[in-house]
Amino acid sequence: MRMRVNPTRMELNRLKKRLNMAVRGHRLLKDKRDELMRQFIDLIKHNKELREEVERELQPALAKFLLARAVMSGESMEEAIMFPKTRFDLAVSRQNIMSVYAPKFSWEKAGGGQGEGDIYPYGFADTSAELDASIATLSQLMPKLLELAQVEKAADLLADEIEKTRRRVNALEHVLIPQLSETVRYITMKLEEAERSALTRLMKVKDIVRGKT
Amino acid sequence: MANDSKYAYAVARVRVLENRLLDKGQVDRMLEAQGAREALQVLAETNYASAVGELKDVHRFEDLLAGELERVYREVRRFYPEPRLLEALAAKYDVHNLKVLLKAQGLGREAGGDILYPNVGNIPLAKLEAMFAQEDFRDLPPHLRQAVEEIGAGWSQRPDPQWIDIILDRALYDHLLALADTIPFLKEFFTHQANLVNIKTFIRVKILRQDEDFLKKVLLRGGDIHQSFFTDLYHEPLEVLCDRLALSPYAQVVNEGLAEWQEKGRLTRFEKLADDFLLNFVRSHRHHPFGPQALVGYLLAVENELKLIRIIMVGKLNKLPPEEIRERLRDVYV
Amino acid sequence: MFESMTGIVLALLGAALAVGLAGIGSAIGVGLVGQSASGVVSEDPDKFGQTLLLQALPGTQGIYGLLTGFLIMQRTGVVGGNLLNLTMEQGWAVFMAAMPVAIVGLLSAIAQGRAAAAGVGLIAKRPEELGKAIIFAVMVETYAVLALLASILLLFGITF
Repeated sequence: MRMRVNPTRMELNRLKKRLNMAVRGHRLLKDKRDELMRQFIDLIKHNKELREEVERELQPALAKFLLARAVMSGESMEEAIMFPKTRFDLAVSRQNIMSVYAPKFSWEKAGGGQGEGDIYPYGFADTSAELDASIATLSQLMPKLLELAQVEKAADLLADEIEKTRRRVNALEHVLIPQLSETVRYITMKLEEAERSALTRLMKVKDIVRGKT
Repeated sequence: MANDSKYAYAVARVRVLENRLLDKGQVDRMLEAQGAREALQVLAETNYASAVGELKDVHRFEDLLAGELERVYREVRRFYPEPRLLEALAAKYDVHNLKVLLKAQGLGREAGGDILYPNVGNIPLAKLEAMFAQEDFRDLPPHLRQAVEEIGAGWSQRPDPQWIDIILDRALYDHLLALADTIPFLKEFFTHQANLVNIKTFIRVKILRQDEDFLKKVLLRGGDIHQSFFTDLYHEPLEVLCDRLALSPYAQVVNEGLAEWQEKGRLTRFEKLADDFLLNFVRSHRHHPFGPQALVGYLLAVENELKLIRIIMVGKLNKLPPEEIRERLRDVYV
Repeated sequence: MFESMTGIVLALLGAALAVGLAGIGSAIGVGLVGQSASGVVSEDPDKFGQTLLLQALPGTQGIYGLLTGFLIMQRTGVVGGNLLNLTMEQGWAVFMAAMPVAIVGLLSAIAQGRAAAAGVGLIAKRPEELGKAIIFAVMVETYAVLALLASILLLFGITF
């Protein structure tokens, strides 16, 4: 598809400049895309490992929780865990991955517990020991869960960016560049055509003039 | 002889009520049911028929249990002769409500209605809530008021939800044993209960590697195994506990419970055996025709039955294998 | 005159105690079973007939007491209208003859009440075991009957 433009030399110059720019942009975007892909793949790998690890630990913790839930009344269970003892203070900053701004979490354990083991917000008389184990695992898992959230969000944003870049690359590659080059060719041909016809006309005129004399 | 006529009516009435508890066959049928809905169908043929009929969603089966608990306590309040008996048995629900309300206050939000016992405890929930609204605890029974004040004093220094539980649990057991002073059977029961809680607490504190000071704080004072017994054992390995308790009535509970802990790292069996121990203790006395034994037994049996149903329903809803459910099932009273 | 009065008074006191103590025993026993029975019937009205049967059991001691009382009244002529002049010894003898039924009646009725109340608990659980529940309670009856027998033999043994 060529554009509807006047096949003038000025237009040709303008289009050539645009084509040049498009080709350069295309190359840059392609590089960006490749780099993004590389980063993304690293991130995904990390994400996968993290997720598997979290799931591996979360599954038994949830199973234990379920069993504790079975031997404790709903009321006792809710009472036991309604007031968490440890708190995570979460600060969100930005990190720049190839000009994609992903959130970066930093956290700090706060409140209640003195010492490592002091994470249980309930008394021991009315609670099941099965709850202890699941609370301990969940508490250990918390930093990993936060990291997982961060990595997953970054991967998500990165995937968006890759998609956008890929679309731009494609648009340049398959639409704009062919269009421009075709138009350029068309104008060039048009101009050459005009030149040739002017030349022929000139030769004709020359012949006529020569024949008269 | 005065006791005879005091208890004769209530004991006879409870004998009829005992007939309506689930028996082993019904529990087994629930266990073998395919899925939660079918398990519920077994219940529909029992005392729970109307409650099951009203239940719209299987996942809300806790409503059924809460409703039954409330119904039983309401009924029993009408004819149990000794007020102290019921006060002692229902005291744990007051303490539960207090814990929830205190924690909700600490969090600065309303306590969800689902996790309170509105009509089971000795103090109506509305009255408790009013006390919290006005921050005026003068109407609380002395032992609870003291506990609330102690919690309030500690809270300003270090807000720790665990303290709420610990102080109230301790106040509860002190109070229970004081209440039961004139009813020897009840006193014996609560002493066993406090001992078993203390043994379990000791094991948990060891497993969780909390320090000795903490152990001193969480142990209940009610049992007849003295606190120093546990603190002395604190630095010994857990096996020593088995040896030391070998001649106590809890030998089997501790031995089997700890054997499973060593093997699989959980106290499931211990908890089951401890519950069974208490149930069997009451059950072995329940044939006494004129005394509190059968009355205590009935309420314990109801609470035990609700626990049984809960274990089965949670198991069925989450598609746990039947063995896994069976491991946790408590004995049946009747 | 005074002496003969004391004799008849002692005899009548014996009759009064036989009727009274055995009656009190029966009342307590029947009352106890009644409480148990109403406990059961309040939850299970169909059991009324069975529990009533058990409740009636401790009532017999009162009847034995009354029987002994009547016998004394008849022997001493209180009923016949022809009052005997009893000596002190005769009065004491009649009084003593009344004691087995009075004392055993009182205590056995209460004991039987307890056994029957427990029996009520048993049939609350297993209605088909009514027969056994009755047998347990009736075992106590033996001693009331023996006491009655002793009282009657004693009374007939006294000559006026």
